[in-house]
Amino acid sequence: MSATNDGSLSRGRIWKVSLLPTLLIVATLVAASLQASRLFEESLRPDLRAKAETLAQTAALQFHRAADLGIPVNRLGAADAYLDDAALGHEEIRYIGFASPDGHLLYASRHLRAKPASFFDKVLKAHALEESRGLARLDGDLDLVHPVESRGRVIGQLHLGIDATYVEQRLQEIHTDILITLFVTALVTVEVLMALMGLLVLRPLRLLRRLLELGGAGDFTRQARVRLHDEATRALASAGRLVRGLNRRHAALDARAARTLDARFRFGDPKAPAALEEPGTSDLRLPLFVFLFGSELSRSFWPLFVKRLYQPGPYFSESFMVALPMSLWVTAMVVCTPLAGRLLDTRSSRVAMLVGMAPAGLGLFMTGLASSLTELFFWRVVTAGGYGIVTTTALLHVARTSKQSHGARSMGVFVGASTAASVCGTAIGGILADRIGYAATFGVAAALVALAMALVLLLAPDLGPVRAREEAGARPTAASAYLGILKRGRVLLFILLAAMPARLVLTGFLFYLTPLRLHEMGFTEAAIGRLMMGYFIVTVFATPVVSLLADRHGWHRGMMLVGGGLSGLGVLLFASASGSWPLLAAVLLVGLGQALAATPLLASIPPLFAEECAGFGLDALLSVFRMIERVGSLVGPLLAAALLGTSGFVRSTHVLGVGMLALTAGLAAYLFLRSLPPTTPTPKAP
Amino acid sequence: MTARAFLAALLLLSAASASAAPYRVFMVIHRTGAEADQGFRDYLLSAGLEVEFTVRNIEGDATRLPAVIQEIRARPPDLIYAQSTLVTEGLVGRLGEVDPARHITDVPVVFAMVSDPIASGLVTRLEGSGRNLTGAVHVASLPVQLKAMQSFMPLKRLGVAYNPSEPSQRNMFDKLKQLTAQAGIELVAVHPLGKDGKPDAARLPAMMQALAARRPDLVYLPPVNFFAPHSQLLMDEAIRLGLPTFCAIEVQLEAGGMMGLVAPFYNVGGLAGFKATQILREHRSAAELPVETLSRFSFEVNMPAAHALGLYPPMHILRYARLRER
Repeated sequence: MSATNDGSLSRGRIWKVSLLPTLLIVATLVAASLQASRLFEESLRPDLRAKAETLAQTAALQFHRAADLGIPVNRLGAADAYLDDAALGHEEIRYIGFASPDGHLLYASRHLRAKPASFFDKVLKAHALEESRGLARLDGDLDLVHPVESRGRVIGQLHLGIDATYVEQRLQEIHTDILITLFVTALVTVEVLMALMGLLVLRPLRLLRRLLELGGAGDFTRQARVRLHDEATRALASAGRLVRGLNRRHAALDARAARTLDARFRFGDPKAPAALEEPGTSDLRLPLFVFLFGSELSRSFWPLFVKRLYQPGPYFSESFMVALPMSLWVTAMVVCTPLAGRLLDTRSSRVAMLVGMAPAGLGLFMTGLASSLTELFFWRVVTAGGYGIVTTTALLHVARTSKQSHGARSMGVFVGASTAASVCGTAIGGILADRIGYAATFGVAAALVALAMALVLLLAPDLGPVRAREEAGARPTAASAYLGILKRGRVLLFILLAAMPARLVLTGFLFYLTPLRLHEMGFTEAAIGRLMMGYFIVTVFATPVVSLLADRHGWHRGMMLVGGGLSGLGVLLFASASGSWPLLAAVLLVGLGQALAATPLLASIPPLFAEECAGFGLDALLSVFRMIERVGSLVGPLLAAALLGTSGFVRSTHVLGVGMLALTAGLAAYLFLRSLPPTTPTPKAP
Repeated sequence: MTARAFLAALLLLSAASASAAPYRVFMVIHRTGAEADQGFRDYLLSAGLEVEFTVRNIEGDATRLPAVIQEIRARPPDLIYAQSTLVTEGLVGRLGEVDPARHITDVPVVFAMVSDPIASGLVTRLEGSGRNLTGAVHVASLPVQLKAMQSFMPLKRLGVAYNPSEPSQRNMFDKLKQLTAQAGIELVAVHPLGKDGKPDAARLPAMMQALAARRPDLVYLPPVNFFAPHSQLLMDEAIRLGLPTFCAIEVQLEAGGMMGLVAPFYNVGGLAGFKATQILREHRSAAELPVETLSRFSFEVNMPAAHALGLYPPMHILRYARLRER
């Protein structure tokens, strides 16, 4: 086991160890969920008929009254509208109709009016055949007949169409919610287990090895601080006792002997030994996951929540005001980013995390209570500021503490936590909003952030300032480097064609248009969350495969083009899709496209811009990339809002999709031109 | 409002103590039999006030008012009750035409049964007249009435029979014309004025026939004083000619009008009585008491008229209307 690869091996072990408890937990939950859904099914079915009967009785009251007053049953005014009203708010009731005793349909609610006349003949025939006590089965519908009497004489029949698939649909929704909850539980369990394993097993073992290495080299100056008591830490503690004993004995030696020893070994002060701490990149993983989980809870219903507070005003359209907080979010986040670096330089990652989380939690809580858009904007900015500090701190912490060789994998800590949180947050947030309402969901989000703060206090060691490594010391020149890069037209063009569209689609299409459109189509918050979760899941699964394929076969450019094309097609498909499966397919397509396009993007920069890399450094080039991507995130919702305001949903989605395809075509042309001999003599795959 | 009035009544009842001398209230009425008068009296008595009522009936004749005013001057009462716009105008004078020699200014006047005190030039604002006058309005506002008509049936052409010789009626007509124009409804107006510019009862049947000839969807009957004694005749003619009517006041419904948005007059009189109690008992100034209308009007439909015309209330109106089955 060499020092460089043991990290990955132990990580693999952790996975294996985590798998079993996760499976056990999930299996238990599956059993409980199955039981719950069976109970639900049993209680839901008979209720439907009882409810329809009650509704029929209520609707019949006015017909009774009219008949009692001597109003001829065929001379009633606005009876269609009355039946429309009666059916309103009862999702399972397809229609209500009123027929004369001889079977002529006199009045009907909207849905029934829209059906051909032959439909009602079918209803009558079905009733004539059935011995079902007034409940006839038609294709897809049930028809309940309820006689209306006045003064002992039947004056007509009310017909209520019950959606036979209603129960199945509700059950299907509940089953999906249960499945999602299981999936999220599994993800959360793995996250927690990995964090605990890291803290309880990996960390003490790593410290122990470090201590032994130091001892082997004759350095006895350091002591590991032991906070927990289990097997691994006990081993560490006994090693620590050994070192302390050596130090004590060294101190007891007379000066002469000590001098001889000092030539070979280094001892510390037995009373106050220097602390041996190993800043681990995974210290922050669990708190970060919980924090991001909370922040992402509102993802699926955010535009709907804002829309609810919108009051028509003279200056700004609704679509603009709904998009504005999303752009404010990006702006506030970017503005607060430098604060994280400063905190990290002067205090510690622990303090920086707490400083970011406190306003974010408060902001989330107050957002739920906001009663006007002004309040909402304010609290959103507060939340975003905190969010910016936390995420930047996490990124910098990982970047500064990881060993160079582990850089990429350590970055995975951040990416993994944030993707898992996006999946969990979006899905669970939708379900929560559906069941307990928006305000309470924001409350849960704030509680999760508070939990994350507690986890930071418990788990993350206070290491003091984490300084940037020396090689990043070339900072002062960064601004001039940025300008220099931006002046290079070809870099800017590449970014505008390749990097920005992806962000535009993500924020403008997925975060802004998708929830609004799905809500308009009658989807519940839970259903919106499920659909949007599809995007993140496909990203989770596709990204590693894409990286692997791209690296192995050098398909970077092709993948970027295919990804852009798929995204555009997905957006176009979404515009014309109507059922939940086509819509899900569209979202998955967009997700797949984004994964295909985003992953090889970074890898393709060095070969494409070798000259700039040499001139300004890869870091500066990547920073410019990130910066312009953020501009895309900022513009995305506003652009989508402007389109929505002027041309409606379908057309604005078309514009976005076609725009995406056009930019991808532009990128293809650009890459083709770049691959021509004069610029790069041998267009070899990297 | 009625709830507040009721509460006030209870309070006053509980605090009732026989005052040393009874209050003297002078009632000037347009004609007998208005339930508002009874509502007014009953309210004062139920409030525990000891009141000595003097009643003078002018029988619709404004020329009798100067004599009544002289009688009031001779022995000023504590409060004057005025029934109808005509009576109130005669007693206190229209704004800008008030003459202390001819009009009452030093005794508080409480009116009932004035359909539009602003249009009639009695007050400039309802929140407190600023003069020694307050009262209760018995008619729902025109926009509300028009909305009620439209909830019964879609209106393309609305008929109206009114009396242009009453200034308040001219105001009403101007307002109605404006409202119907805004709603895209054609307005057809008729009146019973003779060549001399005075209303003539003999012209009423012809007036209704002229209206029927224009085939309006519905006929609106505003609170016209002149029509009151002839309500039965008007409603019978309407039914005979197949004209559905929408009435502004209860009397017209009782005479057989088909429907209307009305307040019970008894309660309107009660509201006037509440204001009188505030003035007498609590020594409030009439100038600062608001002119009010009842907060609730009921949509009423005369089922016999509906049967006769074969025109039935739509389902949503059946749900909340008060249906007369007499």
